[in-house]
Amino acid sequence: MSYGITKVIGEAQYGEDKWDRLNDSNQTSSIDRNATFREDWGKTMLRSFGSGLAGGAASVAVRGGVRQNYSAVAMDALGGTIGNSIAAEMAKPSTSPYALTDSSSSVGLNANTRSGTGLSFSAGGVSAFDGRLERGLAAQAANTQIENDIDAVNEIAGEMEASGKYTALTRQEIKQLVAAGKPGLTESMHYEGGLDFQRDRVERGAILGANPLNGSSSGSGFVMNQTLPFSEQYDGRRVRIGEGGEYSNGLSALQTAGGVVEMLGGGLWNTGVSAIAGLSGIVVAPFTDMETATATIHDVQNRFGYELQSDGAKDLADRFANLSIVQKYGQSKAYLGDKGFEIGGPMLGALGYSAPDAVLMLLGPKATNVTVKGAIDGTRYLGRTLGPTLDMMGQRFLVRNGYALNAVPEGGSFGVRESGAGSATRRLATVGDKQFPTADDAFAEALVRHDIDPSTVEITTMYGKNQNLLGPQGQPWEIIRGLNSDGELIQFEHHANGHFFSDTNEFELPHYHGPNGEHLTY
Amino acid sequence: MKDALSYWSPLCKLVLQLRCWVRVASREGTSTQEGPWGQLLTVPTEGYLETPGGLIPLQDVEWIEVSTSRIKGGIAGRPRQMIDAKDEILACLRGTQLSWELRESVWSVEGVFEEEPVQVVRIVS
Repeated sequence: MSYGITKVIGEAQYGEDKWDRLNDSNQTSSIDRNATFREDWGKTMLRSFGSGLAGGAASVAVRGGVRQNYSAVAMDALGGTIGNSIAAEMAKPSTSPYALTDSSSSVGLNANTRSGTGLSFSAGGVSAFDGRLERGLAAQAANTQIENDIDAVNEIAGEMEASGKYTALTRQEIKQLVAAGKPGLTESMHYEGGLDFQRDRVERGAILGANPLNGSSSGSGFVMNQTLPFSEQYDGRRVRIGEGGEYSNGLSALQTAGGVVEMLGGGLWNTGVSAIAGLSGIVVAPFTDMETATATIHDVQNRFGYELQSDGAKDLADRFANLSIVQKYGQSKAYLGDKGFEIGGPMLGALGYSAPDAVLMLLGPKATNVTVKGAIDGTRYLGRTLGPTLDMMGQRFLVRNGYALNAVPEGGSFGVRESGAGSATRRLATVGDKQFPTADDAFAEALVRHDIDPSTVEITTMYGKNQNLLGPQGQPWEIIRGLNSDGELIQFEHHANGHFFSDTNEFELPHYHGPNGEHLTY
Repeated sequence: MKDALSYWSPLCKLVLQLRCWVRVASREGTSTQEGPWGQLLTVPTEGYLETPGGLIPLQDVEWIEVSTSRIKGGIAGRPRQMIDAKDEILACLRGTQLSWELRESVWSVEGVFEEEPVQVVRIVS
């Protein structure tokens, strides 16, 4: 990862001053570093779990540079939304090879959803730059962190192997490594994750950031209700994963344990991707044929499916196919292919509720014109009614953040409309228009296109009189001002409630405006 | 409608290209409603003008004023300075069929400055 991009991401995540101190060993005490990492440890793990596991695409996006790769960034943001959605909703073992519970967190991936897009500004007030750009880059920051973590683990493994002691990484040894200033490693990592990885392997598990694995995590936002199978029957003998000496796969214990983490996470990820892929197939189907819909599913799978990356995980898959975690990972891969057309299932409603941005991003304008009857009608999922519903025109629609899943516009925005709502179509795109998965992504792109220095941005919430700018409950729109590279004052609008054009019976999704009047929708 | 579209389109292009500040007045019944100043002027779909004050049906547009100045600074602790763009704007206008006139007016950008005198180009429908 280039230094420049890392710096940008780091500054976005920690703030410029803090980032500089973090990276200047001469100015940073170990206490400062520890405090920072403690503070961020839970966030990091959550982000890493989703965004880090997104694998190659995310890393490529970061390496290529943020400004030049906004489409790739959007993919990552989608990944974050998917991960968030799945973590929140997939708690039922029968629908997933892995069981999750959600202890609710607004950190990391959650930042990509629309719920946190700055609607908390006071009426008419002028706010300082509200952090949307940072949130838009948060998924990228996760890559920075996970790469740091991996570097640290690899370095430790190297140290241990060189000293012949890699199977016995003790707390004291970790302390010594910390004292030696190993990157990405702090002493506090031992226990900050609330680990009970395995009593005699606490230190190792902590270093690997494996805290979600056995249900005792604290602070990472969600936990996996599956005890890591630290012991497995294999070839008639008991194999203890994570102990390099006994588990003689030629890799260090650290690499092996890392593979376990990756495989579990990869399995979960693929299960989530399968749901999104299936959803995309469902919605595309009415417009096309089965072949095209199937191709759509495969496309989503190919783009977002997770392939094992680490040597440890590959080794597990290659050589220990009987291990339960290997089998479950395989099941998740198979899962990608057999859930394509589960029309009417609760998953659709769940995803529409939790990740409308992902749905819209995947399907583009088509998503706004499709009614999937039954799938969201009175949906209850895991004992929970999904969002407020909206009854109109003989159907019930799920409403999220001011618009229905099928985006029926009202005069001025997206909500109930007395007549003709169901037949409205989206405005034809004009030159420069672009769809984004989240408001944050669209906002970041708008700043780039306007050449605005983010540090100068001011946002004003507007209520005004124009009904075509307000939401159905009078939700405001925004004016964004900032200075461009010439120091000139630039103003652009955030029409957060979209528009409805009654004369043409057309609508447009919520959007920021670009410098040529284009619509950066989300 | 096509006539209105072809009439206002060159102005939209000019405003966006030169990052001009504009405001739009529209007919509301028998009265005229003056919109706020901003830099947005585009035709998002047939029959509508998207302005700093929101969407306005093209047939309701009464006039559009373009400030002959742009603004440098004024926020983020930077001192405000006006940039004269009159010559640029007039040069572009002369290449169009738009009916325009130079007028003295006042200009406000909420939160930045209030009612400053400015010379504007008013284009009537």
